[in-house]
Order: sequence, then C-alpha cells, then structure tokens
Amino acid sequence: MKIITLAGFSCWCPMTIAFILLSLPLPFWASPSSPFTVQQRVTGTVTDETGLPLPGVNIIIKDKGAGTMSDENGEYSITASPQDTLVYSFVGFKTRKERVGERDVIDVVMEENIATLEGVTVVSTGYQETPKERATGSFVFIDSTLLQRSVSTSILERLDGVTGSLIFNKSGGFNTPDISIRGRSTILGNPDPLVVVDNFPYNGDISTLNPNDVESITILKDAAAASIWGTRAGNGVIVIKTKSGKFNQKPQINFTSNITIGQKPRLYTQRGMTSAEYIEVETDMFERGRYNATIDNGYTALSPAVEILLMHRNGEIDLNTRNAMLNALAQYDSRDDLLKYFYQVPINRQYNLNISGGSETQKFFLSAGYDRNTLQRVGSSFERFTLNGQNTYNLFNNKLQWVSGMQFTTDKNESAPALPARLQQFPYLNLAEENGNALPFARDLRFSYIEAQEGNGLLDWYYRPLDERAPSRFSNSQNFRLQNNLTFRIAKPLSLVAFHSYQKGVTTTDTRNYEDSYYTRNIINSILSIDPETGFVTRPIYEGEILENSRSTLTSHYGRLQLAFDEIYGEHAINAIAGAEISEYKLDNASYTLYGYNRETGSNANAAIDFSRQYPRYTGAGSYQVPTGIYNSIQIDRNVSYYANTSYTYQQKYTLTASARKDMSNIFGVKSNQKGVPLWSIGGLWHIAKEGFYQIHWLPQLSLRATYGYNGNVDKSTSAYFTQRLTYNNLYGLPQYQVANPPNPSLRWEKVSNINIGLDFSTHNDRISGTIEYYHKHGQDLIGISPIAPQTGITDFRGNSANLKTKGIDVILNTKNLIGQIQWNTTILFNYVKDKVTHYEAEPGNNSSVILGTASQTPLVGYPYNAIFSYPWAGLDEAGNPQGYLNGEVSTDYTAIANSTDRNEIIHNGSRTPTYFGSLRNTFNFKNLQLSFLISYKGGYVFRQRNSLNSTNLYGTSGPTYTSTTDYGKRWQQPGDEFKTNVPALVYPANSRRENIYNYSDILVFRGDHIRLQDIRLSYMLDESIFKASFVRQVSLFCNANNLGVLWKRNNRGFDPDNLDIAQTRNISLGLTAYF
Amino acid sequence: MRVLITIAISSIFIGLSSCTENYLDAKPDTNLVTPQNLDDIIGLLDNTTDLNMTGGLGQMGADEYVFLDFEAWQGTFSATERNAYIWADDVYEGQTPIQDWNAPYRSIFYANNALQALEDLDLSSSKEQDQVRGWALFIRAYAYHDLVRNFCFAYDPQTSNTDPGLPLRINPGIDEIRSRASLQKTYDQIISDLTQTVSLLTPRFQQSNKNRPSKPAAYALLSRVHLMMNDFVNAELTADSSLTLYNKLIDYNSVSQSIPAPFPPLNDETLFTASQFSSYSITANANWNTAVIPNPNIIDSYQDDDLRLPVFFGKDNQNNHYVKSRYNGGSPYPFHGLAVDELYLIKAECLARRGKISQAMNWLNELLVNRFKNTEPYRPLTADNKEEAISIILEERKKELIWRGIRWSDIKRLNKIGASITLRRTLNGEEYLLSPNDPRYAFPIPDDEIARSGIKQNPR
Repeated sequence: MKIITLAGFSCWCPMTIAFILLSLPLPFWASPSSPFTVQQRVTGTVTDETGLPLPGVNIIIKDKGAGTMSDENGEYSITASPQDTLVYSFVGFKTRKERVGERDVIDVVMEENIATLEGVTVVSTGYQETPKERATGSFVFIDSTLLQRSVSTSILERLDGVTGSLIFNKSGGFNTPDISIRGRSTILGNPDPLVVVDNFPYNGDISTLNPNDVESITILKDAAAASIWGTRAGNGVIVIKTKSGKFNQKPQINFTSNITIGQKPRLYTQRGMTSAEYIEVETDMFERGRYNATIDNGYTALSPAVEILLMHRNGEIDLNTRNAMLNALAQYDSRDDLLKYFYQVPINRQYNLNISGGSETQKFFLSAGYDRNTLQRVGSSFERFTLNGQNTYNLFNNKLQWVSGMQFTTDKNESAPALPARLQQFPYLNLAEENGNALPFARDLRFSYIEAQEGNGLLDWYYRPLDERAPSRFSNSQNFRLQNNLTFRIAKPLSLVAFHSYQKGVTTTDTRNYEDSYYTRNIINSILSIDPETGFVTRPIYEGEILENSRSTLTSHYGRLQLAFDEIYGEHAINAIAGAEISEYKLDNASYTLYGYNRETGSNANAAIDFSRQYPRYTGAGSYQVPTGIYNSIQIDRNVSYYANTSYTYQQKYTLTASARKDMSNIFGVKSNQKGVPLWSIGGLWHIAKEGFYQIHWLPQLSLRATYGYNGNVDKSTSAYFTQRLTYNNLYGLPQYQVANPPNPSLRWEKVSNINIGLDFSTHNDRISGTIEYYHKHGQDLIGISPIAPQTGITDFRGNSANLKTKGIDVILNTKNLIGQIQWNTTILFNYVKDKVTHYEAEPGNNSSVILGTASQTPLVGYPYNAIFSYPWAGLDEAGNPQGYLNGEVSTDYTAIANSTDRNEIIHNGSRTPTYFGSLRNTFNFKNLQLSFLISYKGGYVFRQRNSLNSTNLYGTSGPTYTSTTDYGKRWQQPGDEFKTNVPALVYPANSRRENIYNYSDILVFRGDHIRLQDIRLSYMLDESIFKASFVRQVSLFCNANNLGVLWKRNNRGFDPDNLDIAQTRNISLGLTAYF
Repeated sequence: MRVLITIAISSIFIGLSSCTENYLDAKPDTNLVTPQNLDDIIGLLDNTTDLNMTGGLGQMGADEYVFLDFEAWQGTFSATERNAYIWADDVYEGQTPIQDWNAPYRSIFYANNALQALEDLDLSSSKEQDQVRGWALFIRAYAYHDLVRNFCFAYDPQTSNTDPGLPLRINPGIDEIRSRASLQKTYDQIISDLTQTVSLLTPRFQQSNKNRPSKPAAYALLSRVHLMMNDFVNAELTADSSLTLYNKLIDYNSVSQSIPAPFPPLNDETLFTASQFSSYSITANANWNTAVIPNPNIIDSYQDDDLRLPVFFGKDNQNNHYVKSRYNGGSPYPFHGLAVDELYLIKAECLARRGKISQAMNWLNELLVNRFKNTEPYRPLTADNKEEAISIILEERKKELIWRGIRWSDIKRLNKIGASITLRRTLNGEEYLLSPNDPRYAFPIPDDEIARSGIKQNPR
C-alpha cells in the first residue's frame, strides 16, 4: 500500500546523484596555502556513532577558515599542514577537533549532541528522531540531567515544575487527569496524555519503569508533533527514551543510590471541629431525638459520646457524672492515636546499577534497579525490582542494524486494611490503653448488644482498630517487555525499519481477610443463625480466612513497518517516513473469593454456601446474599493505522512538513467505514536569522514555526447501536444485562484542530535563549454527557455534544546570568491556557444545577469547562439564615433561587484549573558545587472552600465528620451575630437548599493564585583527582529538599490551594552517583 | 534467529492488515453485546436490579404508618420522606434523582428496547418469542400503572379525557420528548398492553423466576387496574380469569412467626415479584426502621387468633411493632408485586358491590381460613347487607395488603365513590389534613423532568 507509493521515490536516485555532484561546494580550491609549511592531503570518513556515514559535515582548518564538506559517503579530502587542527562540525553533533600531525587519513566518529538544552537537540516522536532545527512542531525536550534533578519512584513525577505547558492537576474536577498538556481536549474520553516508551505506547502502570533507565523525555504538544500518534494524541504525547550504550566506548559502570525521608501525614493541620465542639453537636442532636431511631433498634453502633448521653437518660448516671465523662472524652484527640499507631515516616530507598559500552559494531546498556518504599500507613510498603537491557548490533557492513531491548519488572505492594470512614469521623477517639493494648471501637454494633450475645456461639464481635494494622492486601505484578527493531539500509537514501514490541504483565492481588480479622468475624457472625428450640448454631460461612483473589493479565503486541527516506541534495534536504502499524492490547481480568480458606491446606468451604440465598441477618436487619466474588472479562483494543510524515528543507532555512494518518479501531457497534478517522497536519519553519537581510547581530538565532492540523480522541465506551452489558446475577441467580448504551446513530469521532505558532531565539553564546509559542485548539464533536428528561428512561446521554476552544501561550526562557568561576543560570517557564465551551447540546437547567454541577457536569456555553459558579451573597438575616438574590431583591426563597434559570443571578468566579502557571529555576555552579532551587507558581483560577458549615453534612444519615465542618465556632448564634459573621445558624432538620445558598455563595470562593518553593537541591561533584589511583572515576553527592511550602498566596484564609484539606508533607532526599 | 522471528512476526502483522475488517470486528469487551438472539433479550428483561422496581411515594403518603413522634420525623434525613408524610407542597426540596419517577420509566425504556430488538431481529415466530414479547409488554404496563398511582389523579370517567396522564413512550428512541397524554389514554395504553400480554403468554404458571410474568399475573394486573378505575365488572372478570388459572394460597399456620423474613422469595402465593426500590428508609420492613410504626389502628384491628399479626409484624427493642419482610424473601424493601390474596379480595369486593353478599363473604372466608390459627375452628365472617359486606371486605383488604403499596390508590379510588377518607397527621401539636380528592393525591413530577422536558406539573 503505502510502501508501493513510496517506491516511487527510488526513481529519484540517479537524479539525486547528479544533483549532489552539481551542488557540491569545493571551497578548498580557493584555500590559501601557506608557502612556509608542508602541505599534505588528508582524507577520511566521517561517521556517526552507529557507523553510518555522515554527509555534509563541515570541515575547516582552525584559524584559517579554509574548509570542505564530507560527501554522501561521509568521505572528505582536504589539504592541510601537520600543525593544523581540523574542526568537524555538523548540526546535531558535537563539534570535534583533530590535530593533523603526521596522519594522512583521519576517520572521525561524530558524537550525537542530544543531551543539551542549549545546543542542538534531537526530538523523538517515537517514530523518528528529528533535529530540532528541522522540526516545525511544538516539542519540549527534557534531558537526563534535568530528570535526575529530583528523586521519585515514578518517572512522570519528575516532570513537575520543570516542563513547560505541562501541569500536574491538584485541584480536582470532572474527569481530570493527573497530568495535562496544554489544557483540556476531551470531556468524557480518556483525558490522559499518551505515554510512549521507545517507539511504542506503554501499557499498564508507568510506575513499573525505572526512572534511572530514562535517557530523555520529549513532550509532543501540537498537531504536527503529535499527529503521528493519531487518535491517541489528542491530549499530547510524552515520549520516553531509555538509555542505550555508545559505540567505541569502554564499559562504564554507574551506581546510584538515594534515600528519601518523608513525613507522617500532617493531620494536625486539618481544620475541623474540636472534640468539645463535636460533643456539643452530638449532645444537641441527642436532645432533639436525632439518635432515637438508632438507639431504639438496640444494635446499631452509637458514638462514645452518645453512649454516655444515653446512660444519663436511662438514669444510670447523674448529670455531673455525665458531664465529667464528656469532659474526659473531650480531652482526647483521635489524631494522637492515629499518628502514633497508624502512620509512620515514609522512607524510600532506591538503588540502581548500570553498565554500558560498545565496540565498533555493537553497543549495550544493562541496568538493574531496586526500590523499597515504606509508605505512610503502617503495614504498607512497595518494592520494585527492574532489569533492563538493550543491545544494538550493526551487521553486514552497517547494512542492517538490530536493536533489541528487554525490560523486566517485578513489584510488590502491601497494604493494611483502609481505615473505615466511621473511625475517621470522630475527633475524640482513644484507641489504645496506656500500655498500648488495643481498645475496641463501636464500628457496626453497640458494645451492649455484643455483650448480650456472648455465649450464643458467636465469634468475638468487637472491632479493635489496633489489631487490624497488619498488611492484608498483597499485590504482585510481573511485567515483561521485549522490543526488537530492525533497520535495513536498503540503499542510500532508503531504509526499511521493522519494529516489534511485545509486553505482558500479570498482576495478582490477594486480599487476605484473616480468620481473626474483624471483616471475617463480622461476616460470619452477621448471618449466623441459632435454632430457637434446639439452640443449634448454623454458620453458613465457615470459620477461616476469606480470600479475595483477582488477577489481571495484559498482553500487547505492536508491529510497525516503516520506510524511511532521508537525503540531502545540496540545498535540499528531504526526509520522509511512511508505514503501517497494527496493534492489539488485551486485558484479561478474573477474580474469585474463597470462604473458610485454610492457608495451610489450601482448602476452602465455598461448597457449604448457597450463593443464591438471602441469609437472614443475625440482628434481624434484613438479609445478606454472600457474594461469589467471581468475575471474568476480557477487553481487547485493536488498531490498524497507516501514516506518512515528510519534511523538506531548503538551504537549511525553510522547512515544510506534512503528515497524515488514518486510524482504525475495533469500536463496537459501528459500521466498518466509521471505524476509522483520517488526521493530518502541515507545518513550516523559517530560520529568519539565516537570511541575508537579517541584521540583528545580538540575536544570531531567530526562527519562526507554524503548524496546523488535527488530533483525535476515541471514546470506546460509546456505541452507535443499542448495547447491553452483562452484570452480576439477578435475584434468581440468572445472568442479567444492563443497558450500556442507548442507540446513537449520529455518533462521530472527536476531532481537535490545532494551530501552533512558535518563535525560537537566542543571543550570542546563548546568554538568553528561549521559545515563545501561541496555540489555539478547537475540539469538535467532543463526547459529553447531556442531561435528558428521565421519561426517556435514562437521565444522562453520552454523545457528541460539545465544542471546546482552548487558547494558550507557552514561554520558555533560559538565561546565563553569570559565566566564569561562578555560573548562574535561570530557566523561566510561563504558560497561559484558557478554554471556553463554545457549544453544548444540552442546557444544564436551573441555576442550582449550574452551580452544583449536579446535571452530570454540563458546562455552560461561553465559560471555561471547569468553571466555578456561585450564588451572590446577601448576608445573614436577623435569624441567622443565609440570604441570596431573587429578581434583584434580597431573598430567602431558597427553592425559587435554586430553580431560577436567569443566569444573571449567579456569578462566574473563574476557572477551577489554573489559567497561568510556570516556574523559575535558578542554578548556581561554583567549582564542583551546584545549588539550584525551583519556585513554581499558579494563578488565574479560583477554588471553593468546602466544609465551612453545612447542616446537611452535620445532621446527615451517618452523622458528622469532624473534618467536614471547619467554621462551627464562627456560626450565627444570637441576634446581632449577623453583623459579625457570614456563617449561618444551624437548622435542624437540615434544609439542603438553604445550606446550598451559603455553601455555594461567592464568599466561599477564593483566588487560587500562589507561589511555592518546590525544592532546593545541593550537589557536589568529587574531583576526579581524588580518585586518581582508584577505579572510581567520579562521584557526585546530592541533597534535595522537596515541597518546602507556599511562599505567597492570594487568599487570606490560610488555604494552600493545592492542598485544601491537609498540608502537604515535606521530604528530603540524599543520594550519590558514582561512575567506574 | 531472533532476526528471522522478528521479520516473520512483523510481516505477519503487516499481512494481517489486509484483512483489517475481520481484525477490527473483535468485541472490545466480552461483557458487551448488541442483542443478537432471544437469550440476549431475555437477559435484558431478567434484570431485577433495574426492572421490577416501584415507587414509594404513595406508601409514604398513605395511612398505614405513623411517625413515632415529632423527634423521629425531624430526625429522618431525607426531605422527601418528611415532606411526603405531610403532603408538603415542595416534596423533594431539590433532591434528585426521584426514583419514583425515574425507575418505572427506566423499566419502560428496557421494555421498549426489548420490543424493538424483537422486531429488528426478525425471528421466525415461535412460542418462546411470544412469551418474551408478552413479558416486555407486561413490564411496560406494570411501570405505567405504578406511575399512575403516584403521579395522576384518581380515575374519573367524567374528567379522564382532560385529566393529565403520563408521557406515553412506546418506542425506545430517546431523542423524542413526549408531553402528558390524557389520563384516559394512559389507562387505555396499560389495558391494551395487558390485553396483548394475556393473549401472548401461555397459561402454564411458572413457579421459578417470579420476576417473569405469567398469564395469571397478567390477568391479576388487569384486575388491579380495572379496580383502580372503579370498573368492578372488568375487575371481577379478570380476577376470575386469573384465579381459574392459579389460586393457591399459603396457610399461615405453616409460616414461622419468629423469623424476620418468614416467606421464601419463591412462595406459592406470589404471582409476580416487584419491590419498592431502595431510596427510602421509613418504608423499610426491617427492625432498624424504628422511626415509624405501623398504624396502631390497623394493628389493633387484628383479632387475637389472626396469624397475620405475628407473621407480618415483629416487636423491636422498644417493644414497638415493626414490619417484617413479605413475599420477596429477605428484602428490607416492601413487596409491591402481585399475589393471589389480592385477587380473592378483589373478587369478594366486586361480588359485594353487585349485591352477591354470601358469595362475596365466601371468597373472603376462603382467604381468611388460611390466615387464622387452625387450633380452633374458623368462624366465618358474615354480612347482613351490601354495605356491611363491602365494609368488612375493605377492612380485611387493609389488614391483608398492608405495606404492599396498594393503600394509596385504594384511598384515591374509594374517595371517588364517596368513601370520604380524610388523612390526618399530627406533628409537634400541628395537624396536617388531606381531604378526599385533594389535588395533592397526585405527587409533583420531579423537578429535573419538568426542567428538561417542560411537561405539565401537577397542581398542589
């Protein structure tokens, strides 16, 4: 197909040669020869590290200016004298100098210059590598130095703050990914950027990749850069390149080790009700009869304070004793015990050893890494072992290159059972006796009930939180990835590359609900029955462990055949690739549960359970059907794509690029002709500074780039046909289907058009260099949710429903402020991004839906997708009730305010996500000492204070949680308070519409702008001279302090907008890297 | 060697792309299907999570229970529950979704999709296909009848052509919004669906899978709907048809009085199972629902040797009565399905209304003999005149069908024919009244439906 069309290029060959011959500059004819020195003819071949001949390399005689260029075979010939030095330079390669001496043949291997931000960078799209000088698209390149600047278990975390136009989302929002590149491009589709590792998308968890194996990362932002990835590139692409060895290099060994020490969660920074306040609320509710229904059933758990209040009401204690007991309870702070018994200081250790090197025809890289993290929760840890090897062979006189890579990862996650929500509700819990013995906590049942049942053949029914700290969830995964690339250099300029990648990952998770765990004891007890006449006890679930096992296996295959054409004809450089790709990604999930499991014999007692039966509960509260835990599903994602990408450069001044791609996918319930979507891009680049008319001498580099094109996104969960999904069994144990998708004959692919204009510049010696880019994205037919009338049978409809425009500016500025003994470099990142919904099929309905976002997150046209709206605040009335506005008048008609559809009655506060953000990184070098610090900032956004005071939360079904009410003390309590506070009076029972007027009012929305000191790093390189006699070549030591805190914030309430509920923990890392 | 393998694999991949069509036909998820055969459609109708669900508003508005006290009413979290009890003007206070509306319409959507799939698949006509079609029509009718009970006025032949009914949806397409048809049209639709069902279903009664309708169940629903319209002739005819096919009653002497779920989900008396969906706590039939107690007047009306008192009710920790599970096994949510006992009561009432007093009392006694202790001989109930017979039968109906979601529509229909039942609530010294034929007998249509479709709201 594509290969055939490309074959048309081959007839260019004879023309090419003629062309080259004609345009070969032969400047040495004109070179002045010194009459005083012996001239000799020097010949040689210039190759790259892979042994490929490099044509067009500039070769000049130092200080004489005379020179030549290597021909298409990389060969050159020049006349020079023995004392001359030849300087070899080529775009994208490090400049080399060779003193001629007595040699008449000088073969030169040029080293690729990939790891410098200042110099020439080669950007990788995962399909090809392009020198940045010829790239029209928008790329961000992060080298290994910058990646090694911070310490983390996962590679992606290291991009935080050092990568322009990439933001780590911390303020939440609907379907918001952890990382977004240039804002939002989709609504319901997968919002995550595509992560590519060495040519192919990485399936599964990226944290299985060892960050020490990463050579560089390229971020693809615009259509021209990313369109090669087609429908998966809608959210941008992160291309990770792993390390490989070098040709003609002696084996090098590198050892890295570091340790990171964190903090226990900073629970005391959490706002909330004090123990005394909480008891006050409980006492008030008790007196109003809020707990009567619960007390009356006799078994449902009551809080410690309510138990005391009840004892008093039942006449068991007098008022003074009651108050004394409540006071004693108020002295406890749950956080004391939580921090003492449930949390620990997290410590991450990371070790990595690698060896690399190469001969003339082969290079290799081998690495082994080990991570061991103890996590914040006692009983939780993470362990990872990685093995990575890459070999490159040049065979048959460099006609064939074979790159073979293998990565193996095994990791182990252990975690303790999650703290139940009810345990985290109360501020005054005492979980341990003085001597550290576990105390019980009334989680489900009252102590008095448990006590009364004793002797009835039940297992111990108390829940003792301290006894439930052992790890119980064990997750093991093995991940194996094998990659092979074969490059056939058919005949210059054509080469054929075959790529293949196979990945298999198996994750097995065992949740061991131990025989003596509360979970198991509680389930066994809850459906135990006692024959009222014989007293005979029946336990439908046998004693023993309840083991929940799940296994998830992913298998992926990628294959790609690509024809590349790369040639320079004098002033014309043409580079083109075309290929076809096929992929399959399969995820196989299965799970089961074993009851009465005996770990020693491996036996279970599932056969004794009737899984279709509703077992009556022991307490009489209804019945319980024992879940089988059996689940099975296979998901298959298949894609076939064709693509082509070409670039043409003239005089190294003008470059034009074009790309096209067609993706086809196994979308369900769609006619074959709708399974695919064509996407394309075009781009241009102009090196203005190379023009003759260019006269700005202080700005020797200036170029302009522009691209336009389409990215896509696919939402495989939507179908054009009516589809139904198999769910668990029905009442009678038969399989049942649920409607997954109503018919949607007008379903279309999401498309994102993309314009990018960029300006690259640098002054002399790169003292100031940088990039300014403007972009404009227009997402069309984005699949969103439209609320529709419930009479249709559904309330939300998924379909093409939105258009979204995003505009932004990315600025990267590098300055060298001081050079010399003390070096001072600064990198400034600035990003501006603003999105606007330009069309939405559905109206969100009344103002309450707009503000609360209840109508399935239907955005309002004309505003950012993640906008925050609020009710204008009109203060409290004389009874402490919140007031809003209705028809311009101050009102307490909460129902009418909520149901109004007049958008003039609500306020748009701004975007929930930052509209500008960036960072400032300063690096100081003095001799072997390096100091750098990173300051990041975010701005142009707002956040809403949750948890101020909400009667609905306070009086809700499960009772208040102390951390969800932060302004209890400031509430209106008596007439006159309305002049001092905005926090309304409590009302019982709660009226949620009244509460919403306050909780969603504009006085609880604050500007999120802030600046934080993200980290400080100090490193020291031990001088080579120290190790003169040893095998150690170099050692560097570093110390990193992270998350150092907020330097400035716009809000005056003390909120850290990135960490609204609890302060971020700080950590410090120490490490060393040694080269042998 | 590896080179060759790689080449081989790569070429296989490229080779594959020529048969792209088949390759891309793989299902992305094994659990996802478009209905291809009858079994797929059956699987959709067998969904007991989304179907066989009814609303709870009517039960909360009726007189089968009272709140223990003002504190208990105040302490009930859901505004809808508090407001339904006092028939407040704004019942939902912005709460969404209101499943009393949404759940039946979801059933209708499922039924319509099943009917559409049957049409699209173009299966050769078979008995089994008829059963499935009848099933889908029945599900649709059941949902409409439940909506009518909660959201429409009582049926009145004088005004039924102008009284607002329901948006009648008989196609699965979701892009079309329907306004409210007249109440007459709504009833016509229900009756026409059920008439078809009756002709499609085989007479054989199925003892398993009670979520699937049988012919006697279809007649039973027809009978209930005719009764809601005060059409006693047709109510009796259809009750007869149902009882001829199946008339088994459970002898409560064989039922445990001690356990909280005395009836297994597959019991002899159930014709079709449906439960109130799980949104409300005060209608729950479980011992943790201590905020409300069954109406003491009804509790007091059970005679000493009436087994229904110990079988239907337990005593909670405070020695108050609570309601136990009924014909849907251990579910804590009320059984709102169809059972044989209701047909005995309909038959008796219809007979009494046409003056067949002794026959009417016979039918009633035939039911009650299964409800009273057999340690002593059963003393049959008798009536001297039509009014007394009707009154006794309606009294027994109240006792037998308590917590079955029927009382609200009974009050509505009876008030239409002069029963003058006024509902009263007292809370914290304040009295709330609902006089006969008050427009508030039709609950407001949920706010989100009104906002999105603009259909006519009920007056309050």
